Amino acid sequence: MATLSSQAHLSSLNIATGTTTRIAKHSNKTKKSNRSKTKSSKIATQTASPILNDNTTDHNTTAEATKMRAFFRGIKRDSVIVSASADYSVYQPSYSFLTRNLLNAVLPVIPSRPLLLTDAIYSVKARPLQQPHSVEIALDLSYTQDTAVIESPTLSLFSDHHASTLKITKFTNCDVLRNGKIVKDETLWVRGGKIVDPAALFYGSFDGPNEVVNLGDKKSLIVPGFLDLQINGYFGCDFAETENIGENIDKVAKGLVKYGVTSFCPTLVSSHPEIYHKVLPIISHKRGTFSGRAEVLGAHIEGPFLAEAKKGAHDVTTLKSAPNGYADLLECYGPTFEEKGAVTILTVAPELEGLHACIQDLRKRSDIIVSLGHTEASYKDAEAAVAAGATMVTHLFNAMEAFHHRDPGPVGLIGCSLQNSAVEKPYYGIIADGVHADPSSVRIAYVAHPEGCILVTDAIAAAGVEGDNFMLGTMRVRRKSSVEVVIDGTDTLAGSVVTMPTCIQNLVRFTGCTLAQAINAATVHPAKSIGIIDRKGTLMPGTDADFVILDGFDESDSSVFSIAQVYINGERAI
Amino acid sequence: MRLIIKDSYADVAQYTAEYVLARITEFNPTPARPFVLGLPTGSSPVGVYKKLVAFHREGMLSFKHVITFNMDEYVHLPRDHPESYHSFMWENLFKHVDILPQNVNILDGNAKDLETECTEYEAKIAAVGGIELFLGGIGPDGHIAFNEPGSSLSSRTRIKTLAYETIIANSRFFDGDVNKVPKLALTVGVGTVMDAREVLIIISGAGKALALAKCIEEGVNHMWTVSAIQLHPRGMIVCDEDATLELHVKTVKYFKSIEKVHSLLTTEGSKVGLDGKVRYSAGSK
Repeated sequence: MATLSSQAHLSSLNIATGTTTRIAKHSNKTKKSNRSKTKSSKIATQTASPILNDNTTDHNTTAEATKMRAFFRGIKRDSVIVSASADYSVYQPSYSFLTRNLLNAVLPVIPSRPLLLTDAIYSVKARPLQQPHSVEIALDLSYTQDTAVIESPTLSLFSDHHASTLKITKFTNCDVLRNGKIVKDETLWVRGGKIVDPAALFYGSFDGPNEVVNLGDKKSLIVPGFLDLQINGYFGCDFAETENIGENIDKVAKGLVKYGVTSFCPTLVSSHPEIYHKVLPIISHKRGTFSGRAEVLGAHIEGPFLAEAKKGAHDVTTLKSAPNGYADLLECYGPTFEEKGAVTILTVAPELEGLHACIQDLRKRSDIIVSLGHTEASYKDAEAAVAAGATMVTHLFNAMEAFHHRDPGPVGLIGCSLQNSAVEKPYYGIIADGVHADPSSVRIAYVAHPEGCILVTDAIAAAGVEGDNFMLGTMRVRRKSSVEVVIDGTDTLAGSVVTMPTCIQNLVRFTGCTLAQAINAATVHPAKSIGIIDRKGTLMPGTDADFVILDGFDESDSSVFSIAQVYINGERAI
Repeated sequence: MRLIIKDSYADVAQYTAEYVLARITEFNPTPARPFVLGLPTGSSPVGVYKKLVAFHREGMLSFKHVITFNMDEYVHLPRDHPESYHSFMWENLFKHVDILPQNVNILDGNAKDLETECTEYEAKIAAVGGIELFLGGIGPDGHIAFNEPGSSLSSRTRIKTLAYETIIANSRFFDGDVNKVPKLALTVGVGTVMDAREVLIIISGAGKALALAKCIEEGVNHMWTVSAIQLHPRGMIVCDEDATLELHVKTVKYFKSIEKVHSLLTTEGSKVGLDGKVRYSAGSK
């Protein structure tokens, strides 16, 4: 990188891996020419599969991006001077060639938005017609004492050159709930199914909006799409039913959109191994984003490693423990369990035999979030489970030991005394239908640990349709009232029929929090808890364009709102 | 020079925004003949921008054929830093209106070659035919843009070291820490601003009172660079009552009486247009 010629050292930052290599100046040239030779072949393969259609590589959440974020966290400055070379592929009728543009910029170090660097890299002189194919960045670290050096591979981040030809839509004259806070009189820009940083486009590549949606007629608020991390079925469909599992998922994904839910984890109640072996691969196959449907995240497996005494509506014949540890999990769920991203959350009772070791194993081997639920664990057991790697509690209050002042049980995890407790408070799901937990209990939990509150519906097939009798896995359930469903012949609650907007409204009414905070419990918190905060839940640039436009507010009652429009992947779904 | 004295800052903002609206509307910009507007940053123009955005939302004002040139920008502050002037203009004006990104010109404080950036900026202004209306503010030391006291009154766009007083004044935007405030800036020169066909300076608040008095009641002086407006054929200052606190009573009374007459003349179908030219037959420009 000859541009910063006055610097004694340059570090090459590999934007994909976040690793740096200190390179002496004179060897730059040889390295560069080698790289450009290998790079041209890489680019050729990359253009064959545009990033937009590539669901498997998400640059925001890859291990590489995480490393880069860690790297930037270590920089004790507000901004760094970078010089970058961007390669553009120029297409002519009979041949194509690579041009390279050198440029430099002073870029802010914003750990939460590493991809902003690529947004900001543009050629100084010749304004390109397209965004660059690949960008290599050299970081000027000569004036820092930073000596961290790691060997970096040569892959660079490829940005999609198709993106720049896509339509930009600007939503204006509204408020936006961005990164958990309401920004008044703001605009939201969407391109290629993602939220984009408008100032960077406006100033950097002279991109203005192709379409302007003016929401000024009514007072409007744009919020991220809601995430439902625990949903067993809906509209008469049960996810634990093997016959029509594929169609069931489609039907639910389509139907949930009108409630503002744009992503969900299909949840499976305790079942026999055959069911998991059949259903999990199909759910995994259905993952991803499709037009007009909520995105299917990985499965939430609730059971069968649960305590019998706290089974709730689960089938007791399926429950078991794991004396052989991880091997038992694998045998029960089948090989799809180990497929990356197929399973998002696993609910277990940590006091059962072998489960503590399983939790530790899972933390090492996979990204699966371990959640505690249907458990007789004491507070000490629960705390040990969190120390071992559990980060969530499934439907707090339900199917667990009740709060006792000398042994608060799993509920005590929202307390976590500063002096005695070795763990951080976990996230916790709350079914805010007013039935599963008394409003006062919800308020106590929320006040104790507001940032951990995750709204879930735990809805079942009976939700969203008429009728009295449904199945929940192998159990028969009956609609007892407009808000309650129970195991047939008992009064044991079996999931719920609540909608996510109702949960949000209830949270405001029960706890007195603001509407923005309640919506955060359905967006930011769940996205953070399952590690997809870089894709969902914040409306920050680079995240998916899944959002809901709310209006119909009432000045006297802050919990009132109505859903006017829902966008999935930048396209209008409702 | 016209001095328009309004009661409060809100009235100043309203008047200025209405004037800009009237000028652009009367000019009737087209792609071949765009309206070139010079824009300031800081606390003075915030109210003006709010009103202009409101006019745009009501459909009265379109920025499609408006080309803008900003006065200044910090050096080596990232473009999307919340305190950069790029961010200021984006948040306060460009975000809400339909201006084309290619028509927006702001000095780039992160350019590789800052001097070339400055000379090219001057060239861009000349290429679009010069600035039709340059809005501006004033500092407590009477500076326009970043032309600190002592700047040449014929200066052009260049790099300037900021005066310590300015750094202190700006530190309120940088968490009150003077070390975080950039020390260098690119700025249009006094000459560049005065080359515009019309200059409108917004002066509000008691803190600017002394500067206003020095600039219009005393001579043209490089220690109070806004005083160069005395030599401009079409200069205008819009201020509020607080800003007149250091002026002679006679000065204030004089300008108020002139404006009274002027406002009687510049009505719909009147004999005198906004540009000061006399119309010889009704309805013609």
